[in-house]
Amino acid sequence: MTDPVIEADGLGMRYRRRGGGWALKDCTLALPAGRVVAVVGPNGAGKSTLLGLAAGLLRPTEGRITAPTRDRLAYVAQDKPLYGQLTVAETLRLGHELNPDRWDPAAAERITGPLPGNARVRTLSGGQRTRLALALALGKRPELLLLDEPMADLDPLARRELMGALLADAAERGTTVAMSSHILTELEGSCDHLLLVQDGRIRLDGAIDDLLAAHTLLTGPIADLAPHTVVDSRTTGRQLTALVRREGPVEGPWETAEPSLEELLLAHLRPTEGAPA
Amino acid sequence: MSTLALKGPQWVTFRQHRRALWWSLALAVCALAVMVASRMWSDGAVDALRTAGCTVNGSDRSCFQAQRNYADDQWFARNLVRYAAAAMLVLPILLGAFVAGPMLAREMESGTYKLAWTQSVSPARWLAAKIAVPAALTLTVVPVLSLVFYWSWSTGPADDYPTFWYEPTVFVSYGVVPVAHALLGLALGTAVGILVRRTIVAMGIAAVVIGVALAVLSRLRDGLWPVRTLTGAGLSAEGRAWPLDRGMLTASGERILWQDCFTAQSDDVGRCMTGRGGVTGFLDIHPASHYWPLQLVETGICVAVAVLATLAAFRVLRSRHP
Repeated sequence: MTDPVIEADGLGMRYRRRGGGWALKDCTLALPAGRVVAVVGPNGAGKSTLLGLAAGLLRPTEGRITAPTRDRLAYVAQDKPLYGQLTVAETLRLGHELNPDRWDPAAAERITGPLPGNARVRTLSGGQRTRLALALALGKRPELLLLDEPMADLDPLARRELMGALLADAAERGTTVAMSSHILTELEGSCDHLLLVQDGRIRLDGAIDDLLAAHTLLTGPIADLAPHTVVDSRTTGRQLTALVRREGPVEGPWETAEPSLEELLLAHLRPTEGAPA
Repeated sequence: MSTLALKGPQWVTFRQHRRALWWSLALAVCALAVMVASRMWSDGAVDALRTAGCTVNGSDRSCFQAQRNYADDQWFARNLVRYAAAAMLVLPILLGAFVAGPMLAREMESGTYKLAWTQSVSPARWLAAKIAVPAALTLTVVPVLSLVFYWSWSTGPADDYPTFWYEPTVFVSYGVVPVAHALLGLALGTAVGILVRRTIVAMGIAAVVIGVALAVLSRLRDGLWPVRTLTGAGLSAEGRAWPLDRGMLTASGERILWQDCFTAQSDDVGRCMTGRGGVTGFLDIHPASHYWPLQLVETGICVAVAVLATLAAFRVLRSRHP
């Protein structure tokens, strides 16, 4: 296995200005290089905080995080910050001026394609801003690309096109991509690694295929599911539907199936029936 | 100006604030125009009086109108000097407020710092560019303003309605102090802009902080160089000296100020002074030769404070950013 791109150890972050609660707590993870990582979780789970820490914009309250230095990573914040008074062409020049050793104009222009070069950034639509922000990130030829809710402002067509371009570029260069979203389906099919964040803690961390294979969806009569770990279960009459993390082979009167990614995520995010929410 | 060989973050800063930079140059040109106009107006008044064959103090009745016109013109020219000096006084405040607000706090407020600080260029270099661009502008434009002001002021509106070098607005309008004040405003604005993350609030606080700093400097100015004390009777500040405390000395050398007696016994001040033991008069002055020592000491103070404020800004930046 290659060296991890992002490594966190006991990472915790508390914002002084927001009432003092932990935005992130006890995070230990190691993201392997070359993966496309989906950072998933409900709103306010700590996804943006995790990405901001990896980008080096935040100082951890406790623990430590190592990630590539700022010249080797690119970060697109959730609000797509850009300078409104510059034009599209000037914004690309900015990418070159601030990354003189790495800038690749062709990579950036592949993404900005349809944008008029002399348009001021403040006149662009949300989707166009996203396009320009992504171009700025890719033009830098990063080893690690951190994208916070990248596709939120895009229509489905542009989303598909941009995601395709992004992933093709990343695959070609072996770039590690970490992108967050609270829309589960947005990331399905494009990511091969999952990081599920909830209430400031990492709930799941692993290759999506491994995670899916480790879980089983059971349907059948109500019975004790030991030794398996029940992630989520609900009963309808005498029928039990449960998602379990298997400990050994499943033996019993149940129909079994491999869960979809969405089922897996929802099962982990949903408070278990009967358990305190 | 697009051929300007700016690179990296300096280029970015210049592009971002291009408009403001042009406006500031336009304002500087306006100020220069006022200074030149004052000088020309004054020269015109002198010429007109001479053409009419009159002198300022002549008692020839036919010269009454010409003398009057001369006085009006000189007064107008003198007011132009005053406006220019007032503009020079507030220049550091405008500069500092602009750097604090639109240049720095706005990056924090709008979140564009997240873009700027994740490029190859470090946040420290980003801040250095934010200081370098306005500093370069200051160091080229303010000396010109200072020199043209001196030319306009020293040779312009004749001595009939003089303004003096030690007046609070004139002192800061030529010499090296205007440059020092501008750099002080720039540095204090930088520190405020890094500390305060709201554009408008940062502008307001920067204006107040710089205004207070300038007021304190103005207040302390006469103590920046040892005063010369004249003693004797009927003293006056001659040779364009800056008159300061005035009073009498007792036999033991103690000082009694006129101003204390004006309030204590305004009907007979002289008797009050002698009653308190005054033997001979004294007058503290800064002779005109103290102009450069005073300018240089004040410049030193401003530069020292500016350096400290700039270092503090970099320190705060480093403590907030890993």
